[in-house]
Amino acid sequence: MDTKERIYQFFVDKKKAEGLTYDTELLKSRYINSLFALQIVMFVEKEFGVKLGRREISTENFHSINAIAALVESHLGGNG
Amino acid sequence: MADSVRIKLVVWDLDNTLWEGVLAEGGGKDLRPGAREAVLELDRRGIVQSVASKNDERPALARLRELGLEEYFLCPQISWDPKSAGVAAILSALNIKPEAAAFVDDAAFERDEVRHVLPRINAYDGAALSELIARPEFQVPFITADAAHRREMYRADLDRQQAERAFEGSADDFLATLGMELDISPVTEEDIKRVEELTVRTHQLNSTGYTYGYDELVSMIRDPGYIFLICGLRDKYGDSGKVGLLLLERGEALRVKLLIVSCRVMSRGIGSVLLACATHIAHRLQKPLLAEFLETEHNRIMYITYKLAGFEEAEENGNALLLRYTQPDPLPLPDYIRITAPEGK
Repeated sequence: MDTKERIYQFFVDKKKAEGLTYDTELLKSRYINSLFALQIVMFVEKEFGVKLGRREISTENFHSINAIAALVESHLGGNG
Repeated sequence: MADSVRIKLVVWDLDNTLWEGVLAEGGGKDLRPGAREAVLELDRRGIVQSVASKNDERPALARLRELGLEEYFLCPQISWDPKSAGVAAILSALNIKPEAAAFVDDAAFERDEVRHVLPRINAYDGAALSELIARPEFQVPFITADAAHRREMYRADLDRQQAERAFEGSADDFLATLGMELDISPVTEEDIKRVEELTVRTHQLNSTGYTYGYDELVSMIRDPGYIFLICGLRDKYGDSGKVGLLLLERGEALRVKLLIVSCRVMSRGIGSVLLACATHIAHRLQKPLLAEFLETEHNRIMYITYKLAGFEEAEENGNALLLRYTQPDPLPLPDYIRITAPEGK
């Protein structure tokens, strides 16, 4: 699985993937409420072994699955 | 040990710690001197208790029942596994950090084994139980109504966790089944002790860690320059008591000085409801909303809550941040919780 698929799978596992695409605006929709926001940050750090800096935790970087994947890949050297 | 350490949980060994002798060798007939008094007194102070013991579970629990103490211990871990595993399971179930927990065991080996896995736990030999509970870290400044019910509240939490594990839907769907009711009201003088308790007990879900003295709190309640709110939470499992605080200072901007949610109700979205309230109040007063944030090693969850709710850094001075709410509209209130608030805020 590539980065986006792994992130998507997290939404599936949490039973929150219905109608979700890689572009769906997560924060302004029912996909991420504040509780889920914490979980997704924790998930990204654990799943990909990255430690996000303060500045990286932003609405821009968690805007969509595409945005989260780009953030992860910036840590992993772009190879996904 | 740091001065600020305050014990919230005591995990007891049984053989030769809580009772005399070794149960499996015919001991355990009598409690050790001061044991009953210690358990009852800690309970009265609102310090919760559990057991980690190497024994067969059934006879050990039966003996605790005969001694009239079983009800005082939440999720006891009695097995032949390493005690560190039992203690870790208790900490996880009750959502208490090792540094706020005490492990009492007469055996140096067991204390070392637990400390090896949980280095920040406070371990004691329990040789003199009356001296143990007289130690400063076992003191509470006062006994609040919430403290008196703390054991039942934790027990309701454990029931809730069990229901959640058995539930087959998303976390939001589960929350919707709880029938949560959040009652938000201005802090009154009767609440002040609980306010002080929340400010000193809460580390993870605490935006600034500011603490205020009694007189300061009284003057803030009366000062129209502040909006000081406290919230109580109930659901079908019981009353969780007063679990959250929001302190707003009026100025050119509305400024969040304090946002605190009891760790006991973590993962139920109370912090974001209070944050949403702040955005609604700011919107109504037509003021920008700022939030002071003091980063500690424990409160990252609170930082993430702010940032992903649409707050951005406006000023940064080491660990001290000033965040600004950047969204045009107030935050939506979640639909899985019924909120009652004064003036329909």
